[in-house]
Amino acid sequence: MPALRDYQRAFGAALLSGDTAIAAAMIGASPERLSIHRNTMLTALANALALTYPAVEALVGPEFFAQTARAFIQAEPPRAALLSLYGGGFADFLAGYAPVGALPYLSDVARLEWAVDRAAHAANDGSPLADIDLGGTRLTLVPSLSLIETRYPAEPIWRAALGADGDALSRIDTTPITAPLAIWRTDDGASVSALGAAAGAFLTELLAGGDAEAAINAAASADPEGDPIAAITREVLPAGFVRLSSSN
Amino acid sequence: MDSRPTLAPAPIPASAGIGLRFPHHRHVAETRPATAWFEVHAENYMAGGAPLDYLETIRRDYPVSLHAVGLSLGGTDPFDMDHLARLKALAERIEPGLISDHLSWSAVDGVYLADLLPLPYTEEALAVVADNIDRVQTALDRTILVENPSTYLAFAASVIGESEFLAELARRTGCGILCDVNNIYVSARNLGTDPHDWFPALAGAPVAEIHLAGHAVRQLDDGQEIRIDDHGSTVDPAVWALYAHALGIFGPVPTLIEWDTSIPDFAVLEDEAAQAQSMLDCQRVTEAGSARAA
Repeated sequence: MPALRDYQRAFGAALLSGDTAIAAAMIGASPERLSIHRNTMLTALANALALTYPAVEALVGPEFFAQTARAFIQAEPPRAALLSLYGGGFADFLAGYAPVGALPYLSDVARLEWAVDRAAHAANDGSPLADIDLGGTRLTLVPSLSLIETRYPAEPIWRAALGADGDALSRIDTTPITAPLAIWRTDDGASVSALGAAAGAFLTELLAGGDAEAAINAAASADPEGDPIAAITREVLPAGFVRLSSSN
Repeated sequence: MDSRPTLAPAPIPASAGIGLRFPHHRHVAETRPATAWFEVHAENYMAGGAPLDYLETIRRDYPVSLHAVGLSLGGTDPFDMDHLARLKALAERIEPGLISDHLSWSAVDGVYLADLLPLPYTEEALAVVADNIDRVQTALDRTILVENPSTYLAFAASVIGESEFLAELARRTGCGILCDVNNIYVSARNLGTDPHDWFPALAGAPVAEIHLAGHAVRQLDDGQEIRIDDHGSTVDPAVWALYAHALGIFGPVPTLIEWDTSIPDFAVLEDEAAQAQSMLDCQRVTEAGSARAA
């Protein structure tokens, strides 16, 4: 009689590989019955990925997504019993996954969706990020704020995919373009806002711990032709991820 | 910056409750239906965010039970203390009336297999599970309930009956038992046994909760019929009958309606809970009658 650990190793290998014969023989059960557990596992994990990556699923279609999810599960099975934390490596996986080579922006859309999912799970009551004085106005950033840089216009593609808007999708120019995106939690989910280079550099510097002067300088060097103060006033001060109060 | 008020303990009443799922968060928080209690899957709230905010709001108005799927009580890996810490943190925040997980395992060599996997019922497995339950109960500083899983396959090596196994776990660790009547029925039909045979070993055991749910019937390639506890439909009439049998043995205990796939309108769950409640009420009347007769 095999020890419990030997059963579990054989069972786990069978679920991950789909080759259930050896484990079934150890248990004394039919391989088909073991496959029920494999289906349950694959369905649970693919569903978890589809919940985190709905735009990727919309872009490739549910059947192709399920196939892709299976390949990812095989390559990177979960290491924690918490499916909402599963799939952080999906964007990198897609970047190297040949069958989606015709959609070079897919990996960026996945990167955005992971940031959206992290923001949606962030606490609302954590400590605010950054805390600077801008000429008598105190500026803080909501604790859930994160910034990502994408190589393709991931934000409009993401929006059109979630809105199931094929027309909008077909009109999007998918030429590579570096675009900083801000992602933060709202009451029921997360919001995404595309930023110009100056506003992106300003926030990046603040999130890195820089003060007001350093952040404005960063904004100025990111867009030497533009007016950094105007960009910050237009894109940052009214944003949903900013809290303003009087410094006094 | 923790200004959350401490929640008063709220024990789970011996009434019909409903398994709370994400699509019903808003409805429950806003309309406060007349449900006696709710149970949630603990793991769905461990990552925080809007779900946890909803749960905290709902907990202010209802007793809540935490049902975990990730402790891998039958696992032989080094125990996942990170997961246990997440459960403990959630319990401190929610003050649940009950905490439960399953008689199963779900991880090996560090990989989480996302299913409640079956155990051979052996002396070795009994020692492993009892050890893990001890660890959990010590960390949480309270007893937990352990639920019988649904089974599709029998281990040739099993030498102990499932209900005997649970009764012995309760004796060794002081844990309570969560009796899933749908799982008893599904397993018995899949393994060709009589579901009524499951109960005698647990007469007098600390059964503190009952689960009810729907299951699906599928055909395997070889023509065999298999029942799968997909929690995707109303409770089967045969399971209601088995529930009446269970109430006769365990008396009226908190009973939960679970629904996890193709989740219907909340009203459908309320109808199922009402049926369970009427059977609980019926059991109370019967018990009062026999007490008078004695």
